[in-house]
Amino acid sequence: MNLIELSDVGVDFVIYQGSGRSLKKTLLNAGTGGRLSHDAHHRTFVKALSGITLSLQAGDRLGLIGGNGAGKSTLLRVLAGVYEPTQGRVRVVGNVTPLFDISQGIDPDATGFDNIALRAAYLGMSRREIANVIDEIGEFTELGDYLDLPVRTYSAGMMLRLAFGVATTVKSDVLLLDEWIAVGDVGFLEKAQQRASSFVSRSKVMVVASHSEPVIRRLCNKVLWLRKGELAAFGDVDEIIKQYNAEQNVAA
Amino acid sequence: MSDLKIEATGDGAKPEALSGAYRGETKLDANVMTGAATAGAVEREIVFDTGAVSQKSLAARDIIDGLSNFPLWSMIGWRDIKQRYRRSTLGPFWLTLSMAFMVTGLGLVYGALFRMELSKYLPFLCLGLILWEFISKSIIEGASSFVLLEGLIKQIRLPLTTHIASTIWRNVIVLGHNAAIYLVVATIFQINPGWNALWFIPAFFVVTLNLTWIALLLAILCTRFRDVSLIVQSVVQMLFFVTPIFWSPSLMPGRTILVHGNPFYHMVEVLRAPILGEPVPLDSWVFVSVMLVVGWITSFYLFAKFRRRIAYWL
Repeated sequence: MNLIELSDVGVDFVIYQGSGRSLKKTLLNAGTGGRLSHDAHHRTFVKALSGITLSLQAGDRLGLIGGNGAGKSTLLRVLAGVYEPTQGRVRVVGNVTPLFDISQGIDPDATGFDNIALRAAYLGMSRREIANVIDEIGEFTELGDYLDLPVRTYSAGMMLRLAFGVATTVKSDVLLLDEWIAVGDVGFLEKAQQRASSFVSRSKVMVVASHSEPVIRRLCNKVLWLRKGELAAFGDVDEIIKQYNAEQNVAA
Repeated sequence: MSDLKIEATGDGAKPEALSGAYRGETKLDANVMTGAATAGAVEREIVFDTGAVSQKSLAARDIIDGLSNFPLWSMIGWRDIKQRYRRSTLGPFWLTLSMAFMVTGLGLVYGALFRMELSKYLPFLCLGLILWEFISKSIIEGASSFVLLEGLIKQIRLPLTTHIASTIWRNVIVLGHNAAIYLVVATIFQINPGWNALWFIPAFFVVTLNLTWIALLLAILCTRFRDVSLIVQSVVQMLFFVTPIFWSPSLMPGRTILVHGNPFYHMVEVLRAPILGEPVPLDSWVFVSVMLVVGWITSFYLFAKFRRRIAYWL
């Protein structure tokens, strides 16, 4: 069964500020980013994604690659159900756990444990479920006594552990990760990867957006290459990364 | 992510033919059997599908799921209060204290200006100020609730009305803290409203639900037009002086339309009169009830039309 199905998905952002003509012209010819166009009301809008058709089954670990502004984060947000697309249709089956910006939903003055509880609540866990797993998460994060200290005393890597611990404990069918995964130290990444793989073995889907080839190679078994909001290629990891690098080299 | 609906039969949501129009749907299939746990146990499965249901039912879903998720929004509301006063000794009782200063100061000055007996004026003023704090802050903070939670809204799919509910709840907690002052005042001046005070309970529900639609409506507008939150602030500030909070409506001869045409007067009055042991004027009850119905219809219409755009406007 397809856990994720996108058919002809497009996302347009209407830009309400700064619609100076010359600026528009400049941007229209820019090399990176989505395409800019105008609608009937002469509003500027960015075509962040267009014509994306894709389906993912259980066990798929998809890496999103592409230049800056190619639409990787937008696509993740579409999968998370945050941006409901302006064209086409999205269908995602199961619990979605997004990990985009770890600092969001974190209260820096609250303790690690409090923040675990808060994040878990946002991700849809009940109080009782949280009470049951909070020690397990604490153990996974390896933060020990730090969990009783305010989170503002944590380093970026420690924050990542916290967020990742919660995200992978919540019953999740679809895990979405944005770039920041590279923040974690190697040892933790291995552990996180194991945990992430155990997700996949429980027949779940993971989607990672990253610029880092090693991260993609390590975590993914499929790659989707986005170019200016359009699907440039989709398939096997080695194959697509080779094509992608080839194009990068031509451009350079 | 809790935007769900239970579908009784097995086969899940079959995608319909794709229409060019943008639509949305969320469904819960009750078809996945968990083999491990109790045999035959049905696991709820969430399907997020932008394909089959009208915007109106999606908006209704959002409102029902958002407002009914008490554990979540009450937790967020409490957390907000704790966060504000985390490193202060008195904590949320700073709210109580600053309100007490306000009541004392205004009470002495305006009691003298209006030549009113302090035993009559102070309870009236105290209650009015506490209720106004609740009403005005719910509106002002509710109006910017989407804008302030941009990061969260763009990251985790929650019913948007969850954020409205937690904002209102936060102000209910503040109201609870401030109530302590009135208890002191009422004890000093020996005010006993009797059973009449029970009218406060239905009034509280009606007013809170009114504040919810106002907050939702303004939150939508403020997200699209950032000037609206500034307009809201100055209008609410003006309303404090126009609404009978620190002056009694009996001081205004003629021009009763300025009092009786003011929705905020009626919202304050249905809450204030029962506690002071006075009967609530019927026209106030009628006003807040009609306002509740008309307001929710307007708010719902707007929400159904623009709900899916809100994340894009942030």
